[in-house]
Amino acid sequence: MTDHRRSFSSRVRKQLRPPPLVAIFAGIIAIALCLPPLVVLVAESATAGITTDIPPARLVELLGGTLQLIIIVTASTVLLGTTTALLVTRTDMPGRRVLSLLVMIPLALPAYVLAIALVGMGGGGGLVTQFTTAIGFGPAPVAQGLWAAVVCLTLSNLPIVHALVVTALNRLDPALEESARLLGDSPTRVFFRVIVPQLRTPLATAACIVSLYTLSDFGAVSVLRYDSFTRAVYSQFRGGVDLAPAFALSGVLISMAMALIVLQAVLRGRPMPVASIARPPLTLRLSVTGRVAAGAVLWAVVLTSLVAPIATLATWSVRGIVSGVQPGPILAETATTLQFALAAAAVTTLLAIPIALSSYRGTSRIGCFAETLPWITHSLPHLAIGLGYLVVSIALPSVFYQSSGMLILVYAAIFLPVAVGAQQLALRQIDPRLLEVSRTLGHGVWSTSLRVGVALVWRAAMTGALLVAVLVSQELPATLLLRPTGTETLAIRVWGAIPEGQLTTGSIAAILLVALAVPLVAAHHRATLQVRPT
Amino acid sequence: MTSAGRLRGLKPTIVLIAAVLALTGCGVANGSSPAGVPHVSASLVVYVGRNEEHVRPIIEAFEAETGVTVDALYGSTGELATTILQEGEASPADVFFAQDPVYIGALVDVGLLASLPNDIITRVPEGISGPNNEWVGVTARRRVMVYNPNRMSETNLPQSIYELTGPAWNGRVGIAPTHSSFVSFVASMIATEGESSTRDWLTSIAANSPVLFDGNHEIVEAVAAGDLDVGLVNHYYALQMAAERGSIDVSNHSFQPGDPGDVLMPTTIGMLESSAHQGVALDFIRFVLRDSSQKHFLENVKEYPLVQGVGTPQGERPLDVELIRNMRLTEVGNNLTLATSLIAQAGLI
Repeated sequence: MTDHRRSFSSRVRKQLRPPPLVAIFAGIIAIALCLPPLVVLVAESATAGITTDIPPARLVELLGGTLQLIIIVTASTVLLGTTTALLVTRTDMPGRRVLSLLVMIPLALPAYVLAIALVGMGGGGGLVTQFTTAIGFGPAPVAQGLWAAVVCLTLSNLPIVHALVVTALNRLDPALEESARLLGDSPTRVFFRVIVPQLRTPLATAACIVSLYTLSDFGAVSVLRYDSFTRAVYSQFRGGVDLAPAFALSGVLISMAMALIVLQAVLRGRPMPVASIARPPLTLRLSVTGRVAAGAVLWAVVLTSLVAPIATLATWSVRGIVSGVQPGPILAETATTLQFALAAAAVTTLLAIPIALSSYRGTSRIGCFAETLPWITHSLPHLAIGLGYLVVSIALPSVFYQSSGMLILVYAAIFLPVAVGAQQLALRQIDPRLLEVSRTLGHGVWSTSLRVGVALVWRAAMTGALLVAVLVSQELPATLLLRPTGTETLAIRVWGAIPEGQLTTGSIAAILLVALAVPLVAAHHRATLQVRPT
Repeated sequence: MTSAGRLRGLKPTIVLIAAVLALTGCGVANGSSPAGVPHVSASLVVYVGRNEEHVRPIIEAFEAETGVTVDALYGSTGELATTILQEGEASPADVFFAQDPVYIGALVDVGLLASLPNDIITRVPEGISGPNNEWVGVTARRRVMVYNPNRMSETNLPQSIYELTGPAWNGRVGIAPTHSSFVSFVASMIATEGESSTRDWLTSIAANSPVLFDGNHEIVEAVAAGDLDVGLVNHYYALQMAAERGSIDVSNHSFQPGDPGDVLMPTTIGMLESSAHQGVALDFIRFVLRDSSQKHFLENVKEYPLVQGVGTPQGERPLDVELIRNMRLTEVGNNLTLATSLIAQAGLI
């Protein structure tokens, strides 16, 4: 994204300054929506201090457990994601475009859905156990603790890393590799000497995204009973009637997230050189053994991250329906989920417009601020942010407390950067000459923005809205803390089913959640990411 | 954009403007806030800290009979009690239906619950109510230890929860330490055994590598699947499972009478002092204590009805009201903070 900024901003800067009103409006939106929970969190965790009853030894244990999980998940995801990306972009693997798409589809599966599928596979009652005992092995292990959390979070983060690396690989200038090959370097040497150094920036970004996600994850570690910090924060909230201990732990959580955010800013570095002429990159011709090995890796990923989870959830669902289990008002919950997702996507997209307009050129200070603040709120663990909004909503007039409107505003606050990012990308690609023409034809600033800007940004804004809708439908912690009276969503149902021992209900809800997301993610995938044909 | 799309976009915009004004503190004068506007529709807000499946039929029956719309917020008892405490007088809740006397006791302490009239209190045995009748018991559940009879014999199981801290039970006991039923049990243990014995027991349990869960049902499923040896839960899970599946993979084991592990805990219901629909709220509580509703809890949930003469869960001993009173119902509410803090101090979070 940053590379576009460089190439277009200098030309656009001289054209069409948006009225300062837009920037001010953007600033107000960012402050009103995204600042309050941060203020609450800082104030509350400062007052709460270390008022937790948890003994220091246990805190260290929880902290260690969280760090351990972050390190293992980040390392395994980056390694595996880079491998799959290389296999689909730089080899002549048959069926690589289809496989790349299949690797991406689990984007529609939130980590806690994968987690509930893992629970349905392992242990004495699991589907894998039925298979292993039938062929004479003992029962499969219970899906709980570190290994289960690592498998679950690695598989659920894999599509993100895969997408980032595929995009980066497609943008590399093949000339460098060709020169190295002409000078006699072997493909392996080219990979380590030429490709890897160029991938540093996307890999660093990917590592930071994955580590932040792992730190923030609440649903999967709850379902898989891994003792992490987020689970302890929620336990403190749930067990006691005093919010102070939860805020004290949130303070630690926020500090860790801040450290990761700073790390990301440091590692992001300069944008990569981009190929000036789009040209297919060099591909490695695989031997038969190579093809088998590469196919095995890719199909194993597809099998474990997509086929097995979906098959498990489907089996549990069908079994439950056949045996007459009442899944509860699950259709009403699907409708509620969809309503919240669409309403939040619409509100978020509308609110993102002024922020995108005032910040896409990176010239306005207010615009830059309006872009950064929501990004911080977005990046912090949503459980902590949700606690912050809980306090805010209680302090507001009672119409806000536990209202759908408040929840939608919180969704908008959390997911603003997603919508802003999509719109900025399109804005940067607008040819400034179009705006010039419009102005010379006598149209004013507003008229030009509407006639040219809206027409060109519309599609990108819709793509952003789709992504927001998916993320909202799957959002768990903030929904859990802030949902209106009598409102249950599919995400809440999936998460709540495990402690109630309702694997069937949880599986049905999970399947529905995925069914909502798959078309949206597929549409988004088509619009944004393409594996180049060779 | 279609006109329907425009209209859809309009409502959030109004909400947004209101939010911006409220959040930035400008525009709306204090007096004009909509907080004071009472709800006038015939609807009731019930916070349900119990299993949704078990309570929804009662709520639907009440709606069908009275025409009142009930908005139910389902959640864990602890979570909902925290929510009400945060909301204070502004709570939208009219009724709180809780799993135990402990969390509802915390609401009594801060004066958020109204006293219930005598006709409601006398539906249940004397003494199963708040200090000034702020809540009334609805049903009772016994704390037991579940085990898998296919895998072990009851004769090897302990007679007292104090035995669970021994090396024989290392890594074999499942508990849900932040679940309200465990917190209530700890609060009850504080009332009967004293703070220091309770603290010692929790610390020893924590040191004996317990398997920590979020909920009781999860423990029972793990025992049934053979993934866990024993777990501390309520009595009705095993009975429900036997009724639903016909198979007996889980049985209840009782600790000996007088042991702190042998407790009978009432589920509770109370009305918020701030409720604007107190008449309907009381009608709802009366409905919950009706024979027909009590029968639902007996037959479908397998709990002890507290209304006399409805019956006893199959295979359970008759209702022992003394066992409930042993919890010292008026004190346990005060023990809540102590109980959660002892649990956290033991490292069971």
